[in-house]
Amino acid sequence: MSNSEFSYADIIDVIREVLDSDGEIKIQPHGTSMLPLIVQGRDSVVLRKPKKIKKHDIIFYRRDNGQFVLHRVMKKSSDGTFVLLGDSQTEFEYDIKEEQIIAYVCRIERKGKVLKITSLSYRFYVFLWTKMPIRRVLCFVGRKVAFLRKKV
Amino acid sequence: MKIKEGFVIREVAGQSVVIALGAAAKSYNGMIRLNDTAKLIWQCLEKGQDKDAIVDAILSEYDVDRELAENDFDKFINALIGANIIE
Repeated sequence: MSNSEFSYADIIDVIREVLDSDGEIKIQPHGTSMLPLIVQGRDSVVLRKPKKIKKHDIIFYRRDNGQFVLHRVMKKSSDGTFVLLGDSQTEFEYDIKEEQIIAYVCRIERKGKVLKITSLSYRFYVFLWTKMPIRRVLCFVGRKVAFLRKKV
Repeated sequence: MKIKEGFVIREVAGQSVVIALGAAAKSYNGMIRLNDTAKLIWQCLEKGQDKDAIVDAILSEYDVDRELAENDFDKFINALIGANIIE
């Protein structure tokens, strides 16, 4: 029921087959780059094949070096490529091409509950969190709080 | 006991898994890993065999007694029923 022991390279054919059949497939993302939204071990994301990639979609894509990544679209460039950024990051990743995109996140599952990407709370989070100055301030405050907690 | 339409077996990194395709993948989006016994049971279900035939198949493949084979069968079938994969 989980992909935790398989690498994405192992299951990518199966993922593509399900997506091509217009189905949904759930994965358990690892890493910290989509914090505070997606927490490794707590959250799953459900993937679908996108018809059209929109700004602020979370997409699952493959880098030229073979790495599989789950990050958020911040911008579609005039040349048709995409600018990506993890929710906990501040350095943009440029030049991701449409053919590198495998899927988009259609919902997030957390402790048996479903977080729809159309829900008000999610949209508010995206609205706030994609404003870079706000993110920088919140990240700064977050780091300070973590630092102080460690000291205490 | 019939496998619902859309559920198929695939090989991933040398291991058998069950996934859902198409409409079935709207209600089931996970992946079930099969051990060798579960794979054998699944293949028998695909052929439309009943419990007795499947238990016989397990007995001819593995050196176990009938009670254990029936136990394995019931456990796997209950898991499939729980996940709404067979009807």
